[in-house]
Amino acid sequence: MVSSLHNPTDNAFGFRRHSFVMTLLLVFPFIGSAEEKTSVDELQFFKQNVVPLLKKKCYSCHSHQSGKAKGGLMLDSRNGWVKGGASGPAIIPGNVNDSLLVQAIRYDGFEMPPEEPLTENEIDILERWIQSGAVDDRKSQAANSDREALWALEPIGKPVLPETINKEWARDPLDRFVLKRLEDAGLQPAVEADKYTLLRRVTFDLTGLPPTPEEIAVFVKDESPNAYEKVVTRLLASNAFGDHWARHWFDLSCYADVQRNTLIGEAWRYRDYVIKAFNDDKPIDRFIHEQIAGDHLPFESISQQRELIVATGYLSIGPWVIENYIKPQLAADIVDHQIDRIGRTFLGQTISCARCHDHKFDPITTKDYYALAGIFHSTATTAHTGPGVWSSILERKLPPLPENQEARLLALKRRDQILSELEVLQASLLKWFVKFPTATNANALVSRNAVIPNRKGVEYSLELEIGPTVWAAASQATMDGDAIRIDLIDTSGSSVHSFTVLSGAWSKQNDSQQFRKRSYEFSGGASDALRIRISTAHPGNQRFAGAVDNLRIIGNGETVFEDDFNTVAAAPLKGKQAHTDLELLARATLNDWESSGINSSHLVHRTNGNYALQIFSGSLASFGKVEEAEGPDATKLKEVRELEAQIGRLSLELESLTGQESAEYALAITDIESPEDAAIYRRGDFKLLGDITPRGTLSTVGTGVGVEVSDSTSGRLQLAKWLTAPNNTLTSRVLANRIWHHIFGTGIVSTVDYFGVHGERPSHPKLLDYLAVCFQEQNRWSLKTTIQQLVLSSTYRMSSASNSKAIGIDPDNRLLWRMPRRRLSGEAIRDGMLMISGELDTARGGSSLGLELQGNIRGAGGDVNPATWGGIVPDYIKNRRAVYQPLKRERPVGDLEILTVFDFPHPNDITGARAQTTVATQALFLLNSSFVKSQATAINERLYAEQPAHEVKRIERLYMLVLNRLPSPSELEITQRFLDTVAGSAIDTKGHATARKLAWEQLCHGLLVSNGFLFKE
Amino acid sequence: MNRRKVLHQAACGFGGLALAAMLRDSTTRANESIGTGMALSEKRPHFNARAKRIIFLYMKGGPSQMDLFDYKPQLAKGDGSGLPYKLPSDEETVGLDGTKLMGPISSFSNRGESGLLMSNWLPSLGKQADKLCILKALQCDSPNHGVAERQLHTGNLFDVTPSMGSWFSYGLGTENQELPSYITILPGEGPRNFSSAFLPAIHQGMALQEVGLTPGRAPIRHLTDTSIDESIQRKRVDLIKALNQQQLQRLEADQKMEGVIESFELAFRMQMETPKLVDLSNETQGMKDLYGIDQPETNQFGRQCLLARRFAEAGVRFVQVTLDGWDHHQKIREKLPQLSKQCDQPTAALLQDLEQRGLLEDTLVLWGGEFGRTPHAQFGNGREHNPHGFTMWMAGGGVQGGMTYGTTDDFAYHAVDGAVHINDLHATLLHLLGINHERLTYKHHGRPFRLTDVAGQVVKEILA
Repeated sequence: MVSSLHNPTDNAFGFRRHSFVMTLLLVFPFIGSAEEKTSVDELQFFKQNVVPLLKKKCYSCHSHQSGKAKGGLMLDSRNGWVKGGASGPAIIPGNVNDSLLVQAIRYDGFEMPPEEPLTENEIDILERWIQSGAVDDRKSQAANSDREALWALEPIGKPVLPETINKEWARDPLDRFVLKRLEDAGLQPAVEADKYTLLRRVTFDLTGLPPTPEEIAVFVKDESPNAYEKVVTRLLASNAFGDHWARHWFDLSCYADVQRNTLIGEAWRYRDYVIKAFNDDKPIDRFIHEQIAGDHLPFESISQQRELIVATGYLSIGPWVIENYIKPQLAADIVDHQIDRIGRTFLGQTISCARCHDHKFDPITTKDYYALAGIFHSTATTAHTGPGVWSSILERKLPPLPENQEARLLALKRRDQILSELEVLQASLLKWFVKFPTATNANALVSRNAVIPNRKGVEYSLELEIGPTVWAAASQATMDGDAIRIDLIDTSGSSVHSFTVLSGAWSKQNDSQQFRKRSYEFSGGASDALRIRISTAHPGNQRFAGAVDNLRIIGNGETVFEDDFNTVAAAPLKGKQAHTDLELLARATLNDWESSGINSSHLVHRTNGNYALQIFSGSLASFGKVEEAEGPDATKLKEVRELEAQIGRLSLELESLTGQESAEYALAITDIESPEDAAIYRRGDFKLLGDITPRGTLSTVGTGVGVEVSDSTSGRLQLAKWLTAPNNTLTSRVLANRIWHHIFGTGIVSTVDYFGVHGERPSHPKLLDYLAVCFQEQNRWSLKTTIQQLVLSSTYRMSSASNSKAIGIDPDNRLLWRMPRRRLSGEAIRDGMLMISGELDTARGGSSLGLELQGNIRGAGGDVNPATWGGIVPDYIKNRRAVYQPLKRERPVGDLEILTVFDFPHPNDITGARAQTTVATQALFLLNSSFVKSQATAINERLYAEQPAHEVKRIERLYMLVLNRLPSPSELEITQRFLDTVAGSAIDTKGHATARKLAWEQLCHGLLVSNGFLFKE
Repeated sequence: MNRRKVLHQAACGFGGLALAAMLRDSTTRANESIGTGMALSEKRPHFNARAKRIIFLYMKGGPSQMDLFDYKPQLAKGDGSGLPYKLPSDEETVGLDGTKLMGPISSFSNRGESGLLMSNWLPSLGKQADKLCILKALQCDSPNHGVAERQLHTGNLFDVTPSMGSWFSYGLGTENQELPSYITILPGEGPRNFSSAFLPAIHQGMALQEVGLTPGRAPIRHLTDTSIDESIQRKRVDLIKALNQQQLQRLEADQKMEGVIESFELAFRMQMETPKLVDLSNETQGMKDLYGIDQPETNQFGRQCLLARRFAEAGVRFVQVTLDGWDHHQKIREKLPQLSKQCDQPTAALLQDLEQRGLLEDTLVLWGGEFGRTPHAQFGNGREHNPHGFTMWMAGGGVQGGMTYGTTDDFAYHAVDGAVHINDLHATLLHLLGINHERLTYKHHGRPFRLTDVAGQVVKEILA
């Protein structure tokens, strides 16, 4: 029955057959290979005539063999032409004329092959083949690579420990792998490093900080056989361990707190999660599961639930272009990065290439890519929330911790206190608004006539309509919490009754100039005639506090005051309100009001001549103009400025408290409502949709079978578990190698992020497998145990002394005949200098952005916004360790420039191994930057305080602090001579003591930037 | 060579040498793919180069093509009317509610013998029209500044890859061993757009942060420390050297450590010499007038352009000059003429000056921004970003003058034919420099990288 369908002369059936095949291919593209149904003749024709022709004429530009897929088209498999290139499928079986391939070889539209057309005979062969159904039994090509190159996909062996000649040297089995290779090469391992060197090395490697003189003294004195083990245990247990090792993780996970115009305000929670995970020695497999799919894991407590939510920030934080106003493109780019990151970080594979074409040399197909893409397209990372084109990273509300109750009550109390303080301050600021009407652009209106009776014993009510509003720029729109303030003031300007009326948030909808009625009761007091003042409750936040209409005061059932703001005396400036097109009047004069603010009054037209009054909160900086307006009066200015500063500070504190007493949020991903498989984007273009691909994992790694994803979830949990499954050959190798890289300076595979065909081969393949097995089995995915194993080894304890024979045989030290000498990272240089100077702030955790910076984004003052933030870090943060500094999604500048100078990676990049450059810009920085200079000064102060009298002891102390050892006699001589010369040359202009101290400062500076500090041996 | 030597000694002195060396990573051997020898040694191109160097006048923000170069009568006619085209449904931008067409806001005239239509806001440049090759159908892949800027500078939208100047430097080295091969004058931001990324650090753009407008401010960050006596600074450098030598004696040869020692010596010499680089005091008054230096509007950009000419003359491979401020979402009628004025005279002066010195033959000048702007109004008085079809121009080394290439639709919105994608632009620039863009590669993360990634076609039609 089947064969009759394949009779090429049977047109009707033939047609049906082909369309059936095509349908199948669209729905199940990879089960449609119909070879068993094909007649032998056609297959033979294909093999004998078509394949050689394609090979000869097309493969040079369209095959895995050549590594080229011009126009995105591959012709070396059925799948290649079914999928086609940028213009769609190349061949439509049975339809010669509509097949693009035929058009191309006929030079109709495309001209292929470009150099020389096919002969008539060759064209006939291809047409005949296509006409008869384009039978093609060639499987989708994985890359054309030899097995050796694909070593990382081979199962992880359990290597036998090699026998070595030297039986004494090895402490850990890993040493035997190293020693064996050395012995084979005729080399010997270097001697053990001295105690000073070893302590400095291991302290920097485990904590990113130098040892203190006291720690050195303890270790040097400790002659017990396990003195070094005790040090390692102490270091692994210190908080500094997580502070340092988390940064290695952030190099791979694109961490940043500031992105273009926005602060990623909750990113720090993820940062703190990672640091805590490392300090708690959370097993790395669990760490991976939580980060990729924490939202799918069960929890036993609220705090664990919170942790699991925060963990998924891993995939929330990344180089998203959240201002991209083409949202499908944003989504596709996010998915691409998520795949790329997981591919490189855990698998050492560049999966991303397959976004547009099957990988040219690694066995990763476009199908694999879109199987993963389906998982991440089923995951929500950002949402278009505005304002304007801006999307934001999704946040999830964290369930409140019960134990926070007390802190919350305290916060509430402090909040009330601040609110009342603010009220007083703002009232005084308002006085100034009224006093210098041209000085500020904040609106404050005072009723012209003092008419309102305020009789004792009478109950009054104040009624008004209120709503959010906006002028031209969306950033000025009323936000949640913004309020209008209405004061009844006496003749001295003091407020007798005060009302703060929340305006609500502007919805940014066309019809959002909406008003609500409010009324307030108050009892009459002593003073008789009052005036009304309308102003913002939050001067200086640069937004519209709201709009007011139909203000009335009623006492004893009688209206004592009323204004509908419709009696406009003059309005020279007209405009349109953003989003609503409602007419706006600026510089308006209202008959019964005196007003201040640069534009005096703003009015918005509601309907038919009915206006409402808009109140702008102005900018705090505007008082600079008081000087112009009133002539220089330092006292006045100072008073106003001080008021502004106080208001700014309190508002910020208030905001931070609001965070505490209300809900907490974390950056987090979730599954979309209906997870689904993704369509292939042809050439990676989201507008060119191809076949739907079932969600799954790489087909070539591990089990060799894609993990199935159930329909109800995105599939992240399955992906996470697949990454750490015992038969996944990549993850444990890649991660063990990463740990090795950070301890020994170079990975066993030096291309730490890439284990593919063109990556470097392992220097010690068996050692790598041994470590991968240890990591999974003996060490149970424990980072600390694995690090401990490495740093306790004899290999790690070698000195870095040179050896001319070994240099000749193995100049790059790939066999590890000595411990390599490594320059400190930018963070270690910075943090180390701060620690030595005694200025390191040991505060840990919490938001890095600082109140000042947070305030900037919310418009609460200051003249910095995230887009132009120059890396100036608030004082109370800037001496904390580098990992706690606010990071912008660019190379760090300003206070953090030192990181950039010393090869800190770009936060968009996935950087397993940092560059290590030596350029003169670094020397310039070390010589002339204010950071290094101020550290030198502080060290000097510290030394003068600790060793005031004895100069030699002071030099020794300096050496212990900076180089973590004592000076040699010749070093002592050099330093003393330096002090004498510099002090001598400065003595003409300065007193003896001052000159000496200046010389000392230069000495501190010199030693601090010497190689002895910059390198760990 | 003599001409160059004389000029360059006058202009750059030792500072240049130090600058060049400063970027050299003293510990890494450069990875050579074209020719051999030192990282910056001059290398033979793949084929005959039409240009030896490039000056890129980067108009940051995205200048409005329909108001400066791409005049559209239909657009003028439709001023204030509803849109004759649909806005893309997947673009969610702001300020476009009820948007209307905005006709060209400047008047245009035919310029030069070639009669190129150009805005009357560019009168000086108009006089150079016959040198210009105007590309009217540029395209890039992102409507967002950061991303489009990165694509223009590096060919890449997201990943951190080398900037084009770094690729040029890597491909060809420098004509002059005493200067960096890539200088960017007032880039106005961090190294994002002039980074060498994974190429050796020596190919990184050297950023000049000062062009002599702020007395006493060093042209390079951390160049000097005025708080300490020079002689003491010298003694401190000697101390560092002595301490490092002590350590070295203990350790035997160590390339990394020696590299650091060398870098300190170099840094100190630079400190003394480099400020001369940007000193324009020995330029004639006539030269200063030509570039509009000392007129407030053109002072800064004039200095940048004059320095660009000096560096190009001295053999720097790629000089970038940034003029920021073209992002006119609002008040374009007010702001565009201001920017045009800042730009016009210095740009024209650069072309004229290069020509007079015989340098225009082998120096390519490229002018343009990361994208253009829309024919419809934003917020009623500005224009939104437009990556679909916008204008750049080239002049000099290897391209025809007095021509236009490519067209946009009747509203200067989308490219219609002769579209030049950023990858094509890069392929063409490399071609003009004598490099096959498919063959200039560098291996990183296990694969060969190119400036043009997997795309790029040389625009042969514009070659002279």
